[in-house]
Amino acid sequence: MTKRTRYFMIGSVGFLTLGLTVGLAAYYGGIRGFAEPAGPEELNYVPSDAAVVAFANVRQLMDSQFRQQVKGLESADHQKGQEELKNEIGIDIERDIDYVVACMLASPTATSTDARSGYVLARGNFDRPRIEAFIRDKGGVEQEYRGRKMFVHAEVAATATTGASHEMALTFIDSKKVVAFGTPAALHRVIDLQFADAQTVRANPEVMKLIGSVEPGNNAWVVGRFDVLSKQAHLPNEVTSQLPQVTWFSAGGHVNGGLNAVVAVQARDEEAAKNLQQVVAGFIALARMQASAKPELNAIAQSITLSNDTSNNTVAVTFTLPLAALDALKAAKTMLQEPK
Amino acid sequence: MAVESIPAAPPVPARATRPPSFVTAAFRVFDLSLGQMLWSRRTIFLALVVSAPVILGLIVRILTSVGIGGSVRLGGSAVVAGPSIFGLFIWLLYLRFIIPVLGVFYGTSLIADEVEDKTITYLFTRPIARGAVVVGKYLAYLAATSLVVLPSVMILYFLVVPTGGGSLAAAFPALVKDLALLGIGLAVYGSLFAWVGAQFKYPLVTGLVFAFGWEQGIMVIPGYLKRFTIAYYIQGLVPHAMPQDSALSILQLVVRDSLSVPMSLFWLGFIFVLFLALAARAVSRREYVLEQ
Repeated sequence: MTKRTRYFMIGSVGFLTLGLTVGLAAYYGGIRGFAEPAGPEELNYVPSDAAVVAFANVRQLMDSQFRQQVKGLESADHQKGQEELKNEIGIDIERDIDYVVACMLASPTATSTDARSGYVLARGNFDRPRIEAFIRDKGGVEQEYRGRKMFVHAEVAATATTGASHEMALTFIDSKKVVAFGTPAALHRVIDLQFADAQTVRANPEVMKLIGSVEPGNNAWVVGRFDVLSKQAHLPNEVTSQLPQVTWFSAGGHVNGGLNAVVAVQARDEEAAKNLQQVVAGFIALARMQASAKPELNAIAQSITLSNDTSNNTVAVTFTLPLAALDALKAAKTMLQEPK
Repeated sequence: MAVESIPAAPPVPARATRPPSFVTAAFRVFDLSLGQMLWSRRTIFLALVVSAPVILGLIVRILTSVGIGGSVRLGGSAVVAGPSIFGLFIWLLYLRFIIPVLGVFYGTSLIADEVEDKTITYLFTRPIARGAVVVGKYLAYLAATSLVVLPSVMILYFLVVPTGGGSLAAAFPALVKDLALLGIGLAVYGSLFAWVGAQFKYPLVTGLVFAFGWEQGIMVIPGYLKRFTIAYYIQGLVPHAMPQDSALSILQLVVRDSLSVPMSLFWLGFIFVLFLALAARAVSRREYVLEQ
């Protein structure tokens, strides 16, 4: 073998090895700024057993044309609420929040009577002293867990019959950039994750595979275990028994000039996937039939497509909500509000 | 006068010239052929073929980085999502075109070139099994093509996957599957066309007719005939390597009628062994008459 051939072989094999090493490093944790794993950085604060994980790029959603159109449909109360939030704690939802990650914690063995737990992680620019002062004013109690400050507020639920109260808590994770808001038990887990005492969701290959498939190109998405959720949904047995055998679900949407969305569910086996596909196909046909007489809805109905991926028993529905459809909805709302 | 007797020189023992074993012989032919293959004019063709997807990937990268195509969507998914484009490149460019083309051009020339250049005599007069010549040259083909094709896939992965919100980490398992799939494709097509090169008088034409006539045509005809193609078994592995993205559902419809992964691997392994053995047998038995 000549020297030239040997150098070529070494170079080629070296390049392949380097590429595979970088890819592997990205797969198992990522390389900051270059080959980062799927999902936002805040997934490091989501435990591996989270039943549902969701993400929304608030900044992109707020800046989108779609949002500007939807704003016209919002009630005055909603806009007033945003103003109050801005005045009280200095958070302008339109500008100060970059994105949010939410998760719901539920054990696969949990029943409908078990308490639900979860939290929202928000990244943005927060006025920490102002927020803390506001919580204290409203009766929030400062607590400490593993050296981290946490504010807990007992909120009496509106259920006057039971008199049950829900405690909500808040803690800052990254000085003033990331804030976590949720049940105290759930926030304890967030703090535990910061001490690397538990595995993050990044160690859960099933969830990360779903996130990897739904994240690209979408500015909002959610993935979760359908079977765990349905157990906790307080559904009657008759309904639960009729639910198809769905294990995982995912939904993603890209919001800008309109809304493009995909909803996918993974069935337990091939037979369940086929049954589910037939049921969904029936609903789509029904929707198209109903919408045929309404031009504003017809475009949406026609955009619905159904696909079935037999390799992993997944049934997916995609649809588009164009801006024109929103204009039609706005017109319909105006018509309803006009005095007769 | 005393005559000094000069002792006769000790007889020189005849050196044992045992022929090298099959494996050693194959490795020596591999060593010799790899350099010849890499630095031949055919390599220019190989470089042109594998650089085409890389150039296309670069164009995609530039277009997406300047914001063109970022809003192109199909259904709910971004059409320009990097992993989807990467999957399309692997499927349409590499598996359906580049791998068969390289198999035809390199596989058929393993023996045919030596015959054409009238240098096969030098190989066959060596004390090595003729089968070892075929195996050695086949291994050189596999190394030469893999060393050029697989790095180009790697470059494409880094160029295309991060576009459109794609994640290098999430697409890594697909990359590994794709690299393995391309390696299998090169091995099986190479084995088949090595036999074609050893068996037929006009191997290049025969190979091209098979790769781009028979394989492409028969794959769209329903029925069992597609089982007599390599593409059918490669397709059995493809859906598992392609990103599960709704934008690719049309392509997945095409490949839906395929075998399971173990069955596909079994038949690809069978074809590989069968045709490499047939090629070695054909070369061992055939009498090459060199035209003067």
